[in-house]
Amino acid sequence: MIADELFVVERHGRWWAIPAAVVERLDDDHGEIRIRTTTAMLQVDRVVTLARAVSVTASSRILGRFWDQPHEGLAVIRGRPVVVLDPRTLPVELICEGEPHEPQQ
Amino acid sequence: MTNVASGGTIRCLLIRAGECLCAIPLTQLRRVVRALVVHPLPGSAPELLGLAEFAGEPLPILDLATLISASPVATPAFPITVIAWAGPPDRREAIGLAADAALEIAELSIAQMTLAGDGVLQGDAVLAGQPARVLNLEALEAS
Repeated sequence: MIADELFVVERHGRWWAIPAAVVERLDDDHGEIRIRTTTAMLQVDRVVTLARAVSVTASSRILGRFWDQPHEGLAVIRGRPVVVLDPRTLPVELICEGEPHEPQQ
Repeated sequence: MTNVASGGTIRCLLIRAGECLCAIPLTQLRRVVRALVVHPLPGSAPELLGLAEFAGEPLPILDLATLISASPVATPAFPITVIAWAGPPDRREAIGLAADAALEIAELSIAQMTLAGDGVLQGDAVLAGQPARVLNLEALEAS
């Protein structure tokens, strides 16, 4: 699968990819970067890049056996493996404090 | 993996993982490389060290010693990554196994193997004069 556009963000040293289609707003509030998606408000340390035409591989069944975070797939961006997130179930470490982080219906 | 009921021999690579010697059938191996850079994933099980990039693809990296419940060495450095095929042959996936050393290729006589079960740990045998755990990565997905 080819993802048209992915925001690659960094939080606590980890890179995550968010489909750009779900990003509604991006604010830099004195170094606090907040991203409003269609499902949640996220806080990240930096935006690494906006990657275009990225090859996304289906999630590995073996990976799923040892890591239960739902996600849309995996990609390699700038030589680094990146998890492409499912916007409906974002990792807790990206969610702004006080924001709900239950899966969206 | 070779049908253990049929007897015969299988060629294996002997790998050191913590205090344990493991034998992995060559048919399940892809390559042995210097340790890949691993990017941890939050909340993963202890067996999963994280993801690495190999040949332009993302690759889950497992701690081999933890996977087989072997005693780890005091300060594991994981100097090598064993790239292997895991899961049933019709839907196998590449994985990386972080390990301590790749030693030699040995011939395993299935008749001399003590069967352990249907999981990743298929049995025990003496290889190159040492007790070794025989792995079957085809069972990794289900076990």
